[in-house]
Amino acid sequence: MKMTIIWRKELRELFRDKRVRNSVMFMPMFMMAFFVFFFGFITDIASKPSQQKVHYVKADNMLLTILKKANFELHEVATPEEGEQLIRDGKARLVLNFEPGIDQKIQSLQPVSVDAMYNPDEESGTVALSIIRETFRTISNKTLEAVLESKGLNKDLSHPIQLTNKPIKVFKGESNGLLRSLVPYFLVLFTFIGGMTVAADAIAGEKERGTLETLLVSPAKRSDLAVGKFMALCTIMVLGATCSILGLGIMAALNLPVTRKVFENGLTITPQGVAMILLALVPATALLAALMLAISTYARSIREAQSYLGSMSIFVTIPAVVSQVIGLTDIGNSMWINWVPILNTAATIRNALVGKFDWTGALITAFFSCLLAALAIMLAVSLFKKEKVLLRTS
Amino acid sequence: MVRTHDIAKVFMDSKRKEVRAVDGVSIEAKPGEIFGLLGANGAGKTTLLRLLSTVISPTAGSAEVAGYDVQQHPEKVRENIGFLSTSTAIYQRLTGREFIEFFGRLNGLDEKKLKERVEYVTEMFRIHEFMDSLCDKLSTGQKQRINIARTILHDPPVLFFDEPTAGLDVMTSQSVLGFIEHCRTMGKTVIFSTHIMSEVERLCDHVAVIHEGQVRAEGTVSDLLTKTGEPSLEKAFLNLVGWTAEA
Repeated sequence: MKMTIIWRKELRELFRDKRVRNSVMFMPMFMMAFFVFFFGFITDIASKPSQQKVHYVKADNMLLTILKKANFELHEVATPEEGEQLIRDGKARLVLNFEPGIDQKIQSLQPVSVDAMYNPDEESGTVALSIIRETFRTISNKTLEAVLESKGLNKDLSHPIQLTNKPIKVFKGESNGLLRSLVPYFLVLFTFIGGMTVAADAIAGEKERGTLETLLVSPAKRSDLAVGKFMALCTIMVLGATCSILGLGIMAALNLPVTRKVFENGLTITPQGVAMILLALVPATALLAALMLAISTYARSIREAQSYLGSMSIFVTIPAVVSQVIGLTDIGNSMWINWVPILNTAATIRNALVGKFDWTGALITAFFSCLLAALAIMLAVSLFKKEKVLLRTS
Repeated sequence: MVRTHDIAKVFMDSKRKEVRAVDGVSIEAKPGEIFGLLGANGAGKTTLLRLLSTVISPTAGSAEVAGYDVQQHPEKVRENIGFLSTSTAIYQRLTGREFIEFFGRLNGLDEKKLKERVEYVTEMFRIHEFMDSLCDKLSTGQKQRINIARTILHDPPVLFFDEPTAGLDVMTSQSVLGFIEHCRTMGKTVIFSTHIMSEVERLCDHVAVIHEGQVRAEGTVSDLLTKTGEPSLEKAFLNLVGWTAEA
């Protein structure tokens, strides 16, 4: 089989290229590990009182004592004006100004007020405020419960309307929401990036270096040459995606304190889920590889191919980004998503991670991607047979 | 054997104007003969060789290489040719051995035959020393020797050489020309394209002067001299293409 001879030669050549090894193997692994670490780190900071820097206008009361006990990082300022200035200068996230005589008011069961100054355009301020609000809400409830009990009333009246969470697990997956949105996005993205690195070189590069003509005078059929190169491109793309998963696996195995929240339920991926992911990802890889090959065949030079591939990346990154937020709306359950290339792949991967085994949707996704991939391969092969295209050099 | 009959190739230029790169060429090259295509740059030599090696298809006319029609059986034609030109480069990230073996496999050699042939060309072109080095690390001359080994590896009966000495130093050029002479003794049909008169005088049994896609004259070097009445091939060539100093 001449196409396998070409495929083997392409892979041998590609793996000798340091740039390919870096961008296809190490970069996806590192990037995935980095993003998991980074998001884990941010989540960790955002959820812990000890990570919240809070300023307060000079005071001494029981609320401050509670905040100190909860490990908030507290800093005193002399006046409200000084606190306001610190916020304007970006040196403080949140400044609390307690009204005078708070302790006495609480003891005499009077309402108390605390002014919270923050910059609404700075997320760190709103995050700190929400944690403080939660802390004060707990204190308020406890105070109210104590008062109700002292008056001989049911302390549950502190919550006259009880909203009880009763989650009903429809799908089997237990993975963290962050992983659910991160993994489909990165899988699709790294599959594409892996291919993009080598696609421009695959044919446009051969034209530029003059090796294409050496191939064209060999007895291999043009279709064998195109398919051999297509197979090599697919292999590289699958490798890129695999390495990104490996990066995720390494981070899970390291079990770092900052990423524990991200992996607290693991990916909980079942063999069924893996099958579903492969069913969606492999045809999408073939589709992208065939399109990139067609672009590389048409382009006169590596630079021209790279510029076309850059434009193509918009059609990959937009659906991949949309897939991240698709769960926030009902769109995630719409059937039409299965007919949108790339978005359908990312959505199917997401479903597999959630444990939602919508096989009809997955099969439509696979079928449609296969159909488009077949058309794209035919396009690439037909371009490869056109002498005007093949001999189009700069 | 290579035979063309009124073969033509028409391209469209960027202004959609017809360019007749090859215009009704009929030639015949026989085994054991070096057939020279002599012409200036842009005369149509490379296009003619690309037509014969099936890289491009003719607009009109026909050609037969090693008994196969170039349009009916392009793969069969390519199995029977070796093609060397300045535009047939080698893969920089493969070693010489890998490069040669790759083309041997594409030419359908089985592993046993491939091993034998690789040994043969290694010996013939004295490429042992750098056979296992990456082509990227080789000198221009070494690369050309590897490329020639690739051309001859599958022992094709027909060989096309398109300005094979362009850009080479004197020593490498001499070894390339020596190899082409050797091909004649092996009974190969050789088509050799060049614009260098001394190479034609040294190598070619038969020459076709090509200008603006057409064969202006054909015969042995002495036939061309007799026909034009010129004392040298250079002058005969200029006479045939209608070039004058004023022009």
